[in-house]
Amino acid sequence: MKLGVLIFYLLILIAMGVWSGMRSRGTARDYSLASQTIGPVLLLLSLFGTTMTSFALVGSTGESYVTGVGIFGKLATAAGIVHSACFFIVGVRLWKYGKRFGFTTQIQYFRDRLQSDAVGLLLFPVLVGLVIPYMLIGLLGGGITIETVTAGSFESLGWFEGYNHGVPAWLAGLVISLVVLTYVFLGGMRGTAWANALQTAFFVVLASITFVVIVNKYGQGGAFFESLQRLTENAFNANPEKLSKAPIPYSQYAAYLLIPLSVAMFPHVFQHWLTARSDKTFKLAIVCHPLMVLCVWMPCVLMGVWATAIPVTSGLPPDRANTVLGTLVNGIEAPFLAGLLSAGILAAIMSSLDSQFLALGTMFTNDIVTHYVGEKRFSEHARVWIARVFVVLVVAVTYGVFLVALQYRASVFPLGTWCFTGFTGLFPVVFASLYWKRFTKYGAAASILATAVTWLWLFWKSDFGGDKAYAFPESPLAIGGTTILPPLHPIVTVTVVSALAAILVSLFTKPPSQAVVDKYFPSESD
Amino acid sequence: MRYAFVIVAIIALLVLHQNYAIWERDDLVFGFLPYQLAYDGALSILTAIVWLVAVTICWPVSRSSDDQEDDQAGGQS
Repeated sequence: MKLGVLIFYLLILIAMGVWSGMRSRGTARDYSLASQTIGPVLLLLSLFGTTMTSFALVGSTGESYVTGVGIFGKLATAAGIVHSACFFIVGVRLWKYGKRFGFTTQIQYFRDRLQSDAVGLLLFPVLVGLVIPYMLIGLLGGGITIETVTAGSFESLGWFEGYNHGVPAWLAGLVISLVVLTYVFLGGMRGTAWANALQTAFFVVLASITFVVIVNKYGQGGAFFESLQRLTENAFNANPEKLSKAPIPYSQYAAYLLIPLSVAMFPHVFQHWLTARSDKTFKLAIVCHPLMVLCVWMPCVLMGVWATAIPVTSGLPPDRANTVLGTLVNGIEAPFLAGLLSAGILAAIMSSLDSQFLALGTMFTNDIVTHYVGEKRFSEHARVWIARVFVVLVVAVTYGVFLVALQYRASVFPLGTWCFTGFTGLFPVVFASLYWKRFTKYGAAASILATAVTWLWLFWKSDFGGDKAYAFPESPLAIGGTTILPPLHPIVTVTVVSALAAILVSLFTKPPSQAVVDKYFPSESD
Repeated sequence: MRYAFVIVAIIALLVLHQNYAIWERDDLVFGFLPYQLAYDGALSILTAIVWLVAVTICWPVSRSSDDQEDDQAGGQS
């Protein structure tokens, strides 16, 4: 039954891809940007679905299980404040330039704004290198959850004994990849936007249903409100510190404010921004994004902290925190509902994966092939097919890396934070390019290089993410017994070094030409 | 000046977000909601209100001819 519901849901998504493909105008711009016809509701849902991955459902529940409810303020409230700020301060202005000058990718914008091919060439591998681990977050979260939730489904057949007779994570990852590939391949951005909208609505509704069902199941009977109180009281009695922010160091909480700045440099979010019909299309997303984050994260964080006192989950070791939500859902013993809830989790994951696959396919097509071979050498039809071929290659490579990550039991949460650290390190580049006339191509190159080198060095120092509590400096810097710099999350070092490189190198190099300044910083009346 | 409200509002929200005075509180609101979640949830709602005001009074882009053309076209999606 559970599998039947999941398969039905995946077939709906494929049908949506076919339908979107039939509505396509057949141009490369339609394939990548849906001809910039996306309205406010669709933009809100697709931006939200894109920024919320398994990190929001599986990761938040698991992290709340490990460190307590402080994770909500640390990540969700911060995301509500900072994401909307990025949409407002960065997104709207980039949309304006994209619309006016015909950009499809970030690199096209930076090449033109900074009048430098080299900056584009430097940025390309950095962005691709950061998006691939981001996609892994989705595949790992989805694969592990499906394996957990479907445990026992094949017991009568004797299949997959090594995976508790459930769908193995490697197979679940393969199916997820193929379904997303199908509707992105056929429907492009139009298919992605509609699939995102459907999936976002689906997982928001199902997050609420999951919450209610889990309260009723694990709340030991009685009225709903009494069950809520009992679950929280049990969690409080088992782990009182997890109902405060005590397990989270102040410096770490502050440093995590930088994490959501990463959204300003996500290639797939840039592409979604450009799909907007007009600048006013952004307003709904800016206002409602914090509320939607609240609606999804709050129940997940509560379920995570409750799980510390629920018998089926309370014994799970911290390195199995990714399985907390799946284990709770599996314990409901209502196969149809469990199937629906699993589909909801998949929806959250796939609504990010699709945009990332499409963004990388678009980048390879526009930033490498047509840029270096020549746009006029390809027909519109050929460019659509080049993008499709690259989407297939990206999916294949990502799936290969996913299989390796599964072997090492990579955890969703640290993988996510390291990935976001890299994108946040690039934030000074996009912010300076939009608001600082004096920002130069050398400043941009220095900032990108500084981000890459600092990130790689700190990642290596942290035992390639193995040391989850790694901070820099490794011990407090003190002068005369007074601490002047405590150990901080690596994101602080990466961002500060990147910003300093952007500012200092720009100040000491030749400023941009007056023509570029006039183009990007026209008077108010323009 | 157009961004003055936005800048002040973002700083205020960030200060409220970093409220270390309530760090250790573990009491419950309505008997089930941890105080920390209630505080941060309320801050999320306040954030939405602040952005509602911001997009109403500080919208950064003037209406261009491109937008008017799109509006006339109906902008199907």
